[in-house]
Amino acid sequence: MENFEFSQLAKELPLARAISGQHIDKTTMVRLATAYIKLYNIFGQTRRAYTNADYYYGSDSNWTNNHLDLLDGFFVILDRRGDVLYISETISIYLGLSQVEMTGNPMVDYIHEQDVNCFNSVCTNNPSRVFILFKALNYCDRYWPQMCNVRVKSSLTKRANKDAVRASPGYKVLRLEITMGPNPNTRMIACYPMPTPVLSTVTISCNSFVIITSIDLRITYADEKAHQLLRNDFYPDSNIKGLSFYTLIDVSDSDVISKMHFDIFNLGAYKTPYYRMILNQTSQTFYVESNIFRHTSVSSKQFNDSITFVSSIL
Amino acid sequence: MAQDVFMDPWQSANFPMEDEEMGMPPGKYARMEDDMGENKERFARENHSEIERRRRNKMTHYINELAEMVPQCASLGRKPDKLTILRMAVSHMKGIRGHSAQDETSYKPSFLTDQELKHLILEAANGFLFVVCCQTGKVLYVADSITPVLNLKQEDWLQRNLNDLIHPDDQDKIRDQLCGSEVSVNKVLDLKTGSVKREGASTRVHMSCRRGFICRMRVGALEPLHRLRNRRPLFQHGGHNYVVMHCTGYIKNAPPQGINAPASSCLVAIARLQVASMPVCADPASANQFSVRVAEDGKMTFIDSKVGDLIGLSSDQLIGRYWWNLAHPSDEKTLQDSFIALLSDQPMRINIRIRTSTDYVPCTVSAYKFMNPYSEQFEYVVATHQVSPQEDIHSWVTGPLDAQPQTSGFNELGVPGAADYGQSSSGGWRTDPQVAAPAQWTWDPMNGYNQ
Repeated sequence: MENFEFSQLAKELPLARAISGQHIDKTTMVRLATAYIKLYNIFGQTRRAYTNADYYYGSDSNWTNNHLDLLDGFFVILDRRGDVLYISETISIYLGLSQVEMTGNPMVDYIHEQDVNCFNSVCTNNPSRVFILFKALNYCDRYWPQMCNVRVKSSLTKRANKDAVRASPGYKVLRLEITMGPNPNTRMIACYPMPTPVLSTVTISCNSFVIITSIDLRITYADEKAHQLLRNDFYPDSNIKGLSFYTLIDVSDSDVISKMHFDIFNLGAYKTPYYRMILNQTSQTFYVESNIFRHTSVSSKQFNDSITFVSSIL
Repeated sequence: MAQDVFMDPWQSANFPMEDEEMGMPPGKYARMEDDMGENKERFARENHSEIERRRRNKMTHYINELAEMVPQCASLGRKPDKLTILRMAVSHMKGIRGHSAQDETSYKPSFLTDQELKHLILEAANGFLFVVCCQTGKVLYVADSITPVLNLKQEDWLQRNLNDLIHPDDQDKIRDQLCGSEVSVNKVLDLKTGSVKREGASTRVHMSCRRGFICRMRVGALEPLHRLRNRRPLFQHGGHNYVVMHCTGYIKNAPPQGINAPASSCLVAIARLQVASMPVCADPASANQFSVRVAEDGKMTFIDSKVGDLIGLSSDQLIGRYWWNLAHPSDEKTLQDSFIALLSDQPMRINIRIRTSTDYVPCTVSAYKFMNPYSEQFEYVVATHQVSPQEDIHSWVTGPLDAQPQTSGFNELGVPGAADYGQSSSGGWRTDPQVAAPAQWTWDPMNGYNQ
């Protein structure tokens, strides 16, 4: 009797036929069904809202589901309690976690405990803070996404070993962009994983330039391109080695880097928002975005700790 | 823990749930029991009932939650039993999927419809899909969600060359992305040494078609684009505005199905605007201010380029000079003393007059010491100069200064040559005796406002 109802429920669940029914326990089924209905309630409302809005949605016959693969990340929708209503199945590519397991469970269960506060503050701050600031200008919260870098559980990372003292084994750093969902209490999160170093190497775009610093951000290495952009033109033979990284950035943006400097010790990897660097120590600046990695290793003699900036000019 | 992230009065979430059991596969408990070895027998009964109890509790919790979500249950007016909840949930979910019900066997539900997913990509990532032919660079397809992102119509992109749609300086970069293999667009960096090598042959084959790059795309009229309002950077070129877009996707050997185009490899990608990364433009109050970075010896090492508009002096003229040289000669001492006080941790906010190319303007200077967060060593002083709006100045500066506007020679000074760069002193600034005269000038903040 009960089993019959469960098998009926399994048929309605948004899962591949192969796994529904047999491989999912009843608790999970009920959890998924709840999330599915909640999700419908939220998006059902939006569809109506958007027909009157200034949006233009035509029909796109070419739009198909596999386009999640195009992104270098995945999506999460949270309800007002912070429970996962939807998580794209592509999470398994990046973190090895499963959609079925996470749907209906609190997102914070998967976030490193040191980063939970950071995560909660960007989730809750999002509407309130912006709203106060821009109420007069008729601003809409939907257009004010927030970002943060947090560690999320992953079954794909390696454990710490003697060559690489990992900041937090079993976790991967994600850059989250959090937007208010269709319903003011929901959150839509775009999650972009940071590249994970393989041994000590990481793949980077060929347009980026590289600066390596010690942990107090004194520059110990800069590649040719970084030199050309950042050296002081008044002294053509000057070397940016030995300088503080802070002297290379626009003073108005120094808080971006000092925040990174605090966070990199815990996170191990960090993606900055856009900030300005000073072109050749003149008054001209240019925008960059950096992926930053902390690399620690223990050699026979000493403990090495360095911070690498991989920056792209925008 | 943290159940009420979004301050929810909706549901009392004080149901006891241990985090570690959430989502744990059922088999795990069995394994844990095995591990207990000899204690197993003794605790087995107790343990099993404990596990059962928790499982039942969890189930009850989820069932109750489900009941709240199913309108038929809520309208019942009493708490229905589990079986009724399940039955009603099934019929509600059938109702959700609606008219596709006639095709029972091929029906495949998904969490989100394609349309909703597109919506999600647009709203959460500010992204839209596009397809470009690698050989010709022609846009074969673009999703209609380009409109809310760039305020361009599909027609603005379709059949156009991608080069016309991106910033001219990024065209070479895009050509590499379209034509090159991954070997030419990526490199491998060793974090230990900083050494870089080209991607080796070890790269897995299926990865080599992946692409990810940044380029600047043209935007339409900015006015309706709420996302971009007050955000920077915006790039201008040839009368158009450009914004930074992050593109990710892959190269396909043939155009995707449904696109009518000659067989050729294509880039299928999503372009997205990283709004959260874009700093918010300074508020109007800061339009009248410029920042200066001052080294420990008091010399200016960086001045933001707004200084030119505000006081008519170029930063090239100023970099390398002592900060207090910027002040009116009679205020030089004040500024210098404040700077020294600031270095010994006294907060700084003073009102002085500073030079312009022709004159002096009142200015509020506030500064702080920027310390390296790790080493706690002094890095530099950041000083913000709030120049009073022009209309205030005339009512504000009175006396001999007003009568004899100073035209003392900043222009004549010109750009400091390489020779005197960095060794400036106040002597190089040729203080005019007429300026030095009102040395007793002190500023009473109430004076100006009371007039």
